[in-house]
Amino acid sequence: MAVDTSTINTKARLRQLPVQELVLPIVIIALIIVGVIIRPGVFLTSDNLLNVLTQASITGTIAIGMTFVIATGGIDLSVGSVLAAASIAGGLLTPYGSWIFMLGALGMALLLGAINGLAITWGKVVPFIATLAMLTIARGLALWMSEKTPISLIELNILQWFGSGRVLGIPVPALVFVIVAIIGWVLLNRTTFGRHTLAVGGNRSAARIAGIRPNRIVFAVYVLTGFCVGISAILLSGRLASASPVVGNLVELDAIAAVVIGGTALTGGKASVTGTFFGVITFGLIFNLLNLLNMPTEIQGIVKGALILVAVALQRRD
Amino acid sequence: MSASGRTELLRTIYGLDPAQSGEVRVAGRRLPPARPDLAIRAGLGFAPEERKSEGLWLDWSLIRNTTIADLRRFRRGPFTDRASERREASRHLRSLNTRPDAPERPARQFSGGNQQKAVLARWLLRSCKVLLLDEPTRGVDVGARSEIYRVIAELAANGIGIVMVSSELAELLGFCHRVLVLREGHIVDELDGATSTEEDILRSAVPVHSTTKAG
Repeated sequence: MAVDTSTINTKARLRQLPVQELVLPIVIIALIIVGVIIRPGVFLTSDNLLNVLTQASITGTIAIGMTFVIATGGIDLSVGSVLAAASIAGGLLTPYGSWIFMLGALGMALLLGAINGLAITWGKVVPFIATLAMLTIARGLALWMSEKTPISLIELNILQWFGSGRVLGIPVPALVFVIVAIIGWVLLNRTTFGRHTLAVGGNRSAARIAGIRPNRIVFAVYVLTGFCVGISAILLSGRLASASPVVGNLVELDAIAAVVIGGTALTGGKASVTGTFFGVITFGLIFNLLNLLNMPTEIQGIVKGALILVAVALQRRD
Repeated sequence: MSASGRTELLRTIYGLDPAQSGEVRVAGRRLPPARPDLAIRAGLGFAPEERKSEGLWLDWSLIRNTTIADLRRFRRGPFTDRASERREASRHLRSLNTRPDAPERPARQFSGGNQQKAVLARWLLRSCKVLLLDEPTRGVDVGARSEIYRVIAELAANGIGIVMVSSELAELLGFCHRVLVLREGHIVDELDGATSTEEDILRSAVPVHSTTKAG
C-alpha cells in the first residue's frame, strides 16, 4: 500500500513538471551542436557565448517580469516603449551622475508600470488595451522629453560598467540577468506573493473567496515588470553609452515569445521562471546562429514569429 | 427553494456581493462590505456552491488548495516553508478522511465529496469560527454524503458556527437548530429544526395562492 502511494506520487510529480523545462535544455544543447557543426571555431568560443548571454540579458530581464504578468492572465505590450522612456528619464539627469541616472530610469519605469496597473485594476481596462495605450504614450514621452535626439552618457563611467563591465570575465548584464532570474524564481515558487499570483491567474473568483485581493496582485505584477524594465534600461543605456528614444522597438514581442516558449500559459495560472530563462537563451542562440550564417534580419523576424506560433499551438494541446 | 436569494444572502454576508441594506456583524464587530479578506480575518469561511469554478484550483494539488487561504502561517522569513505546508495540509485532509490519501495529486483527480473535504480542510486550517456552506452536498455521491454530514456535525460540535444553504430538506432538519425560509430575497419564516417537518418548510417556502390551488 505504502509502495503504491509513493509510485503514484512520483508519477503525479513527473506529470506536473512542465514539458518545456525538460525540452528546452535539450533544444539548447541541439542548437549548440548545430552551431559547432556549421561555424566551428567561431560559435563555441567563450566570447561568442558570452555575447549571446549579454544580448539576451536586456530582453531576458524584462521577460522575468513579463512571466508574472502573464501568470495572472495579463499581458504587457508597453515594455519596449517604457524601456526608451526610462532611458531618457535617466539621460536627462546625466549631469548628476550614474546613480541618479539609475534612480531616474527606475523611477520612470516604476511610474509607468504603476499607471498600467491602475488602468487595469481601478480603471478596469483590459491589459491588452491598457498597455497598448501605454506603448504609444511611453514612446511619445521618450521622443518628447529627448526632443528626438539621443543623449550621450559617455561621462557616466559607473553606468557603463553596468552595461559593458566584467566580473571574473563574465559580462555584468549577464550577471544581472541571472540574479534577476533567480530572484524571480524564488518570488514565484517560494513566497506567498508568487502563490497568490498563480492563484489569481488560475481562478480569480476562487482567489477572492480564499481572501486574496486580486487587484492588489495584478497591480503589483505590472509594477514589478516596470522595475525589471528599469533595470534593463540601465543595462542597455550603459552598454550603448547613450540614451536613445527609439530603443526597445518590438522588445515586448521578444519578451512574450521567451515567456510563452518557456511554458507559461497565456491564460494565466501556470508559469515557469526557469522556462522563461531557457526560452530567452533559446531565442538568443537561434538569432546568434542566424547572424553567424549572415541571415538578413527579415528572416530572423519570420523565424521568431513562426516559433511563437508553434509554441502557443503546442501549449493549446495540453 | 432555489432562486429565493439564498446564495445571494451567503455571498453578501461574506462580502462577495454588495448589500442593498443592513450590515454584517461577527462577534459584535461590523464587517466592511465587499471585503471577503476581512470577513475571513473576522473568522468567516465560505464553501461556494460552484465548487469547481469558485472553490478550487483543479490543476493544483490538494495541499495547495488546502493552504491557499492561510499561507502566511507557513512563512519563514520571506519564504514559504513547504515542508510544514505539506504536513499541516495533509493532517487536516487526513482528519476529514480524504480519499485517496494522496494530497500531492491535483484536485481534478478527486471525487466531488473529496474535493468538498479539501475546501472544508482549508477553513479548518485557517481555524475559522463561522462557516458558510452553500449546497455542501451538491455533486457529492450518496455514499460520500454521510461523510460530509459527519464532518459538518463534528465542526459544529467543536464550536464552529455553521450557516448552511440546502435544497435537501432532510439535510436541513437533520442538522440545523434554526431553519430560515427565504422567498424572493426576504426571510419569511423561522422554524425550529428539531420539531419541524418537511411540510412545515414547504408551507412557508411556497406562496400561499399556489398552496390553495393545490389544495
